[in-house]
Amino acid sequence: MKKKQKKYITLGDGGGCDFRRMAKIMTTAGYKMNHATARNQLMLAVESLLMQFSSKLKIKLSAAKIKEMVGQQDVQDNLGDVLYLAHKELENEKTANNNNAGITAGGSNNLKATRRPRPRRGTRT
Amino acid sequence: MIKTIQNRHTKTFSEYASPELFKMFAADKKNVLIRNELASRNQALVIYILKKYYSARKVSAEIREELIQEGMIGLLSAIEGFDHTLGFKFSTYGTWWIKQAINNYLINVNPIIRVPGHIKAEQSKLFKELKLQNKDIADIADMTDEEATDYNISKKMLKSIKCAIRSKHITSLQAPITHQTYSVESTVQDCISSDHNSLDPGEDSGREHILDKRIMLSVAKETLRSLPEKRKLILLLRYGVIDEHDLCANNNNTRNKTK
Repeated sequence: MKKKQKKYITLGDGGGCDFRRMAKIMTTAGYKMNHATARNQLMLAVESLLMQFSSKLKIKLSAAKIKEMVGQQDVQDNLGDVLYLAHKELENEKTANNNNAGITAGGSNNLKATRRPRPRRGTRT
Repeated sequence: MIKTIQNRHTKTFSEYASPELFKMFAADKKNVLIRNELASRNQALVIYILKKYYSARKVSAEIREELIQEGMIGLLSAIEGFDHTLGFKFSTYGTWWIKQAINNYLINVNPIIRVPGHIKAEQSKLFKELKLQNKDIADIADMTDEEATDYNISKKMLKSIKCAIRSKHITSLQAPITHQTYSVESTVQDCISSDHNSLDPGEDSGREHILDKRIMLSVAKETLRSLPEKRKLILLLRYGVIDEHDLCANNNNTRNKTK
């Protein structure tokens, strides 16, 4: 693989973390990893996001082209706003669902049964 | 081929006078050669009628060729329908056919919403009558059913005419706009102000593609739902959507609940 394709991307002032910091946070959260793994995981996430975009917006993009786009600075920069809004909406939906569940089915007891167990420390998921 | 057919006759078609040719055509309606000869003799009539449209500035110069074609089609049907025994000149009969063909084309040329011909005809009649009475055409919008009966127009027809007039002012969203300063061609849809459609009310999105952005938002939501937890957290951490404290708080909550 060319050096250009493996380069690290620096994002603008969005309040985001660098890969080493991300790796540290994730390790404390129970997902043991180093900075390179953090980068690889991010690339895979962005790749799946772009694939979904291209299929929904009916833009024909090859897998190679998507991989190339993942490494582009401006592509990654522009994803920030959309991700922020999407996460916000998901959080709102989640709280609304929790409230509804609490009202209708007696609340937290019901939630406990459906919640997935947290992965063990150090295990790969 | 045509020459060989014509050589069989003692005279070529061009040597006959027009009334004789019409007689011959009436006897043999399927003879295309006679019909073509008659059309070529009378094609000046099409140009003559078309000149009147241009002197009245009814049509643009861009569609002149199309109008000639339509006029020629009208002329051919006039030749086929002309009855020489009645004693009228062909130009008297043919003029109506040519005018009808040209008008028909003008009615149907690139309308955004197609207005039926009979409504167009009633509309032009009404315009003529209003013009004679020195009234404004814009008055039709406020015309009542009682007033319309004075012009021999039914209630239903008045409604249709009003709709037809309104349809003139409609612009397609896909209509191209060429920008004077930029060489980029855009459509009306791109230039519509999107303040009330904006995803983020505080953000001035200007000429952004709102529809695309909405799709992107829904796709991002779907993808965030489907991504493994680890990847999702990394993605959100990278863009600063969540921070260390959010993650710790989330972890504490889940720990407490699993205990």
